[in-house]
Amino acid sequence: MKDPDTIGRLSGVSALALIMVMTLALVVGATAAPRGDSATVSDIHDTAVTIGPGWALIRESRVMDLVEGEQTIVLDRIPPEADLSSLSIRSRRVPLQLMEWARDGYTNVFRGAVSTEGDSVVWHPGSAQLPGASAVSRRVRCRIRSPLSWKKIGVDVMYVVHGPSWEARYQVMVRGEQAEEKEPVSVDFTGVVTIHNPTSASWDEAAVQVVGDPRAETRLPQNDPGFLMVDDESPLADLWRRKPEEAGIAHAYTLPGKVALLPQSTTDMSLVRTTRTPASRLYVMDASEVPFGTAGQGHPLRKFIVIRNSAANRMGVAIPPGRAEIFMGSARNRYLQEAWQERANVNDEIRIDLGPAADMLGWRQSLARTPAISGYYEETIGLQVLNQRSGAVLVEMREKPPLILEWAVVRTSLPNRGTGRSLKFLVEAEPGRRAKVEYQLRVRQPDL
Amino acid sequence: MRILHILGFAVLVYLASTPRSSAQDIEASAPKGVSISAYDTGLALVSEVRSITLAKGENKVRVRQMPARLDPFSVAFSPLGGPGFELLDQRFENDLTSVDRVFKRYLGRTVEVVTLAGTQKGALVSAPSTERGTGLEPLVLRIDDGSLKMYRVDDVVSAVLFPQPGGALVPEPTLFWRLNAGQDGPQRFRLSYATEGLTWSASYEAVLTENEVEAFLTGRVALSNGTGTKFDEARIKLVSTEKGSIPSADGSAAGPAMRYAQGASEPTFEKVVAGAAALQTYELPAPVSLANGETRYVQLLSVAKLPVSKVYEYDGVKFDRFQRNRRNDWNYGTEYSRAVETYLRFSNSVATGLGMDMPPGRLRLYRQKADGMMELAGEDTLPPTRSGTLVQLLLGPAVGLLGERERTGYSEITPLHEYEESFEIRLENNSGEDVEIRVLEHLYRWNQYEIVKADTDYRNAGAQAVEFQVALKSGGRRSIHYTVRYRW
Repeated sequence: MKDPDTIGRLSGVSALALIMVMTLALVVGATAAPRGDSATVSDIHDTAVTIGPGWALIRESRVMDLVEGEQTIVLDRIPPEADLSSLSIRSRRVPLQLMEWARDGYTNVFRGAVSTEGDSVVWHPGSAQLPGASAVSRRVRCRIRSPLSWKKIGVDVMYVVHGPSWEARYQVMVRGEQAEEKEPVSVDFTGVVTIHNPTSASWDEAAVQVVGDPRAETRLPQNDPGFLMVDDESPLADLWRRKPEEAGIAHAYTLPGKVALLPQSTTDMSLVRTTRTPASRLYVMDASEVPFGTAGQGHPLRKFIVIRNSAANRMGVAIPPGRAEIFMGSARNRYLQEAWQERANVNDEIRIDLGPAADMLGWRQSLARTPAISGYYEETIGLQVLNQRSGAVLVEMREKPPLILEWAVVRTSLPNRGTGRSLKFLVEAEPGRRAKVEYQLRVRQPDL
Repeated sequence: MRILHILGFAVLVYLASTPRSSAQDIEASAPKGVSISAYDTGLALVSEVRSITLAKGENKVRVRQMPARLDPFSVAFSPLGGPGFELLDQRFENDLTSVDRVFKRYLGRTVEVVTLAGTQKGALVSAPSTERGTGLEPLVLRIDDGSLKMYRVDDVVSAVLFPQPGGALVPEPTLFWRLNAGQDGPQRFRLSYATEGLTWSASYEAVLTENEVEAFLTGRVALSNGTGTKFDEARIKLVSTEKGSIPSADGSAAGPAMRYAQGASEPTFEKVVAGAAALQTYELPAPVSLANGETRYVQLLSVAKLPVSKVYEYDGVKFDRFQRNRRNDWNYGTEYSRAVETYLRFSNSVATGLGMDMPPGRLRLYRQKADGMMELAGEDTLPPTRSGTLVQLLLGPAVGLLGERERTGYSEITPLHEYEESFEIRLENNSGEDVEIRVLEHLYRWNQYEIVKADTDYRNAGAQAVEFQVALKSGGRRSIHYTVRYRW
């Protein structure tokens, strides 16, 4: 559309030229006619970004004037990576309908390496960008329908962008942990969520939420098993094939504060940071790690440092799973290992795995098998740990009876804290002594 | 009078400035009344109305605004009233599809070569072949003084201009017809043709209300016009086919498994032969204009208050794919998953505000929170859905619900003929709300089975399957026990 200044200048030229221009315009028709009235809705008040593995859901609060019936609006700053099939415009006050939308500019894909520019055909050799093709427009022209008019109404513009991802990383520093375990142990726990934004989009002052269980992306090998893939029907292939992964439950984690997510950037957002959080020591005898019927010298238990994810410990936010680097000593002078921090809800325990403890040994054995009522027998199973340390320690025994037959617990020598088909016992092990737990099962004999 | 002269002069100026057409060529009008059947394979069948003014006898006609990816063999027309005409021959031309083609057209003609040193005009003597790689042959110009000037295209040439293309090129996809007309006069005709490059996909967005009993459902269609021409105010019918449901060869979409054929070096999809016939069609509610190269999104449906329900299902058994036909393997079906899946269910009926055939497409489900925030609650693919059917979409594992499935007994009643197996299914609800979970149990060992013992009511759920309905209060736990006996 010609602006008033242009029309003013035209009024100064000769009448002949004006008539020619008008005549030509009549002949040419409306090929260059301006589009219908449209307002650009660019005033973004608030941005919320929800990031999952490989995508981000963007919600922008914008302000616009609504006209009753249909109107065309232009949304600017919609990044090229946005999936426009996910675009929606919603108002909490007015039921809006998004009828039709498209980017203002697009790439003309059929001119190939040549294009028409003015009166000529032009070839740009070696140009990766198609000549005359503009970059993908960030403006999206939308036709919307509203049942009523409304000045300055707030609307939510939502769309999905492909590319962004996130991961959680932790640094754990264990203080006061020495061989003798004479000093109280404490932990410095730092959690950071790293957001990768490989797109050309940026979001200022965005409230960020991350969603999903990134374990599958970061932990499991993604490689194909190799040449045996060539024959799916070979039974051998089964030995190499990774089993289908179960879908993880998508948990959401809201990150504190707001952040600017810049294009092609990686941003670290602090999730939790505590220092000198009081911790406790725990040894664990897990049935999956201590073979049944262990004879001789026993099997080492695993040592954990335990802190509570509570507000009292200046934590108290759900933390997502992620890689953890564990250091020993207050000066971070001893790198212990890289571990995996599981998801921890508020008030859950956070356990820091320090690895096998050679001076804490465990055994699992069958002690007796006696006939019971018809069709059943009873089996007594003993669990014991040997504490070769100089002080008393707390041991958690996670037990799963080594039976595939139907069974029920008849008796335990300590309270069973387990649920379902697992048993759990907490034992105080005195220095230089063995601590024992026994439990008795009634087992249904197979009808052979 | 003077003004009329001026107008006449202006019309002459305009006509002179239009691209060259041979004096006897007749231009067909721009298309009107366009209707398109867009297949999910990228094929589009276009039907449109045009008009021409013919002279009795032989006529040469140009039909512009045709797709670059037109299949010329598919072109057909039928006169709409009038005396009619007969097609003698047809050719389809579009010179801008290849640089080599443009160079060939300009051999001996004047071109302009743009380099950092400036622009040089001259007659084109020879040109590189881009099909064999630029830079192998020089671009040679004969300039005004008769000398030859050679350019290595990959080094110094930033552009080559081909002026006045109307004189040498057919710069847009054009059909050239030689027609025989029985008499003079205007003629309207319906032109139909097939073209590649018009693709579509459907997607859906549903926003659950906070109490999760209603959803605001919208369906939209993305139309990508890669045909090489524009379509104005076209009525569009979407067509889904069996062939369109098979992913492209790049394997980017999920689909049939890939296999190695005998002697082949690369795997191919198991199913490569599929019907291209229309399985289902969906008409867009209003005409759509599509510019060349554009992707346009159009609303297909919108239902503000669609009644929905959420269904939880625990189908715990996990099979290894090589465990088939092992009915007497004691270990068969003893692995399990813990996830309780969430499904969203709604009825595609007039009563719910829908009642229309829905094309397949991804459905994203959002949840509206009390503070107005939205969160992504799940995503699934909606299959092609007929009006009047029930739709059930998998949204993923439920947060806070847990299932375990453990075999508690296994015995051979009659070796190799009769076996009995007992299971305990444990459910746990930490979701913070009361739920009902459907527990699906597959009786996978054999088709002759009998539930000999069960502590919870059950009912058949299809072939070799039973289901239990379990109501669980928030924080509650519940176990189901049953024993099944197989005979063969």
